Amino acid sequence: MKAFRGRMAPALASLLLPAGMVCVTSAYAETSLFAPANYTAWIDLRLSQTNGERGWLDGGFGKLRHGNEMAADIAQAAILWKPQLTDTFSGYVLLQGVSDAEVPVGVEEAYLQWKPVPKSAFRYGLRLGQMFPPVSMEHDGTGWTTPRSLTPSAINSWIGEEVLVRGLEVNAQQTFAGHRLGLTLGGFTRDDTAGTLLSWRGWALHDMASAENTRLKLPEGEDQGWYRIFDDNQAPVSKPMVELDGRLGYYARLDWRPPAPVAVNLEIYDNQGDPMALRNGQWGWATRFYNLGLAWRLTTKDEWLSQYMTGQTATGWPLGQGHRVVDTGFESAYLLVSHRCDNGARLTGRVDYFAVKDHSRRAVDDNSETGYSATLAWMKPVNEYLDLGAEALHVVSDRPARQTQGLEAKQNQTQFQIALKWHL
Amino acid sequence: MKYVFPVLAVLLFASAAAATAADLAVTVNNASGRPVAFAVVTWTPAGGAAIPAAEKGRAFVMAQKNVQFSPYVLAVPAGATVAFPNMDRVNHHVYSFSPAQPFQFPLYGKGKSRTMKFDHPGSVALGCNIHDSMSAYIRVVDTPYYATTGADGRVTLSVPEGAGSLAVWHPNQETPERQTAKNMTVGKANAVQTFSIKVRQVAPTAGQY
Repeated sequence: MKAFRGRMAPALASLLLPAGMVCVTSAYAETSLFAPANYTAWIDLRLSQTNGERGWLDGGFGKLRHGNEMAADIAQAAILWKPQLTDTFSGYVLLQGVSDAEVPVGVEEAYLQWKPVPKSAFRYGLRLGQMFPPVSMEHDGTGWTTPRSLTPSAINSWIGEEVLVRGLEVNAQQTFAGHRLGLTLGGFTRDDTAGTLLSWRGWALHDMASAENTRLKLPEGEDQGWYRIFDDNQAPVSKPMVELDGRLGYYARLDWRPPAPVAVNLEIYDNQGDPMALRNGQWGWATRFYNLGLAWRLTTKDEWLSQYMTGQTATGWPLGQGHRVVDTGFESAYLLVSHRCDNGARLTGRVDYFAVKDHSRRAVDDNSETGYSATLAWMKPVNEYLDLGAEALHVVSDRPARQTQGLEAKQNQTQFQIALKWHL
Repeated sequence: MKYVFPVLAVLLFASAAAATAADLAVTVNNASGRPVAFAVVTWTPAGGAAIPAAEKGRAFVMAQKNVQFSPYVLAVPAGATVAFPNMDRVNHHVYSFSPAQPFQFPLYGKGKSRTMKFDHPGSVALGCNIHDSMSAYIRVVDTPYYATTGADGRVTLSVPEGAGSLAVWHPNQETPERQTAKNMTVGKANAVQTFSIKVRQVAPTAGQY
């Protein structure tokens, strides 16, 4: 009997121990806040050479991250923390440092996400917090970065600078006869100044994404439309993350993935801003846009991405005929083709078109513009710790407001960039 | 003291009718004549065929690497156990809701692995609940004679002579059950069997984040 008991104990132990280990492992798997897998960090070092006019970051009308300079920057140093609260409930916080930004350190996206494990083709989830609405088709890299090029399109550069919201987003997808349909609905606060830069500076192409405390510089000088209309009521910097009117904005997106190598999405965004709201030099802008996105898998190694955006934005008092003192329509489109080489590198070409139409007070505040750009980028992941990138970008644009800074309305600019991205 | 447990030994006699093996070469092309990779080719003898324990016991691996499953298609015999090692720095949450074998492995990180035994023939579509763009398939077959095509679209099976069914399964084949099959008889020497199947390109995952 004793011998029997003696044999049973290890037998029991050997049965219970793995069970206990399974419990421990699954408990660990469920909640993991500060494990190494919850962190990602990188530093993107950038060398650039740009000719032409002064950049918008320096108060000019330049369309790129730099203008008329050679520069070395920390394009982005980031720590991405993704705590796992349960198996299906997680957090996301990106803290970034950008050496050439007006406010260098800030929290970009920060949200809670719930994603139940699908039990059928139907799936759903939600996000709550500070985030970019799902407009960009280019920002599918880790931490809302662009894996195909260094500089995103004009459309998605603008999303990155002026369309950061704080809200609740729900999404659901289902398959019907081989067609995958998705619906995303978002309600948000903040983002009441969206449209400020797009009107007074115009479209731009750069990869600086906004954070909660970001300030974006407007073109300098007392001859600027914004100063001639609003005087000291408008600050010389725009803050994209302010709430001015207490109104809720919304966005809605439809996704369609037919049984073919294409995916289509259509989105409407409206911040329902009050154009008469004014606080601390920040005006409310009533901004609405529509975005159409198309992805097409040409071959297993080649893809085509396109977006078209059209919208309008207005601020200030009404002038009659449905227009306000600052009132613009904007549109942009790009065609991008990306090829994945056998060595893992990506070669991408993109052509952008962008335009702003000004509907009011053009004599004192002409915000109209048209422009085109061509981008060629080569991105190469060298190993687990290092990515290399090189890019050439040429932009041509016509913006009469440049004359307020003594420049020709028509300008062109070429920028070369080399990126070394270290993953820590 | 010595403990003796009764052991029941079952002796299996090789069937007197054990056929001699013959090579059966198969080429899988798409509608435009290009080779199709990741097609699972199976030969099922008319009278069926038992799967040897050694075949079931082989090491089958469906890894997660560079935020992708590898391989895209893994063929295993019914009764096999598949390991799912995570070779990425990030966590993965592998799941399937396929009727053949619904399961999930809640989040696990780098260097860890999970295993699952697949008893029921059929196809198991895999996903990762963290990374929507990850997708792969496990094809559980009911015969010991199977292989998966590489980039050249070719396999050669060593099968017993006699009648049976030759089938080609691909996750994106545009047929019911994603399969094309034909009955034939295997002799000592066999012509290369060529399948021309319609494979659908899958929707791009760009812009999913």
